[in-house]
Amino acid sequence: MQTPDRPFKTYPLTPEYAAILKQRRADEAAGKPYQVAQNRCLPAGLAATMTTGAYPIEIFYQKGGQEILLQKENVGALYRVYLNRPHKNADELYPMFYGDSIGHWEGNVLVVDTVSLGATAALDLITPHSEALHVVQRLHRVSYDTLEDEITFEDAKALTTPVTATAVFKLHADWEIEEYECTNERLMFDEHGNQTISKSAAP
Amino acid sequence: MIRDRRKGNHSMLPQTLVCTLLALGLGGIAPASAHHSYAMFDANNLVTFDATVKEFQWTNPHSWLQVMIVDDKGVAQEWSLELGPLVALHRWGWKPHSVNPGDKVKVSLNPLRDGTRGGRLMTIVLPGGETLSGQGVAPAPIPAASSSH
Repeated sequence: MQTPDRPFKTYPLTPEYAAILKQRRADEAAGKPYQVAQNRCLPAGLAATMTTGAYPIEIFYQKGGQEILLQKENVGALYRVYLNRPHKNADELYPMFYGDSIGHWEGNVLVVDTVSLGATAALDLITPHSEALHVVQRLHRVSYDTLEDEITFEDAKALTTPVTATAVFKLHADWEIEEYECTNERLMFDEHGNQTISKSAAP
Repeated sequence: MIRDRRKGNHSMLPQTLVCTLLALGLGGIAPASAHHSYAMFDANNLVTFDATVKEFQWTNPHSWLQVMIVDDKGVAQEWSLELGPLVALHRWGWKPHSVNPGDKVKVSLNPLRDGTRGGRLMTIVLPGGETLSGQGVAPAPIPAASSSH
């Protein structure tokens, strides 16, 4: 599916992060849109992966149920959920795109808890988050061809309250995940942040 | 693609599952080709030109169509038109050789705001009369606003 460009609604941002969003919107209006990681062919990160539609996700259940692997087609997004351990200790964590994800089952619901998402700075293409972002997903296959993912964003620095929504996924039994290597990025940005199209991809 | 061979405590999740996001009421979801801001394109200005294909770049994160368009002075000028990623175009009916150099086509696009010869390709009419979308299906309703607890 496709939705209109930039349909983002408001998140309950703290004053500090509301100011960051306001500045990003002003920059965009001036032709200098905020540059998220994927603009440079870097990973989108967990938050943007889960708030962006259209591309299929394939879910693998492996290692006897000790690990779940989720692969999203666009930009080859991939992350693992470990069901056999707690989060790593704080002194082992560092800013990551997909963070440290652990999971457990509550009946038929897979609960995925992710921390250490400091390598990205936007929940979507523009709304800021901090390195304190904590994401909890509750995945439930409600019928043969429908998977619901109740997602909660919690961010003590950026959000005044946690935000929860449910993503609904449709099974496509006849689809294949296609190759998506980011090789032809022709949107360029000068030293002032102005966006232009180049004649060819960046070297 | 679904292979639900496993019988056990967690049979609600198969070993592999390919699925797409339908809706997410978390402040709205980004467009299908959500890779960058589209602020550089004038979404309120849809212009249509007769064009001759110079090159079709079947690539990610976006495919690109290089076309020659004759300007007001009768001079053919090269334009760069951005499409969705090839993985999405494929599902929208495109193939790597849907257009070829020399093809006479009609392109409808949102031009670049800065006046540079380029834009976001919305639709194209191929030499055989077939129309393809450069950006996917018609926009769907925006999901409900976010909820908090």
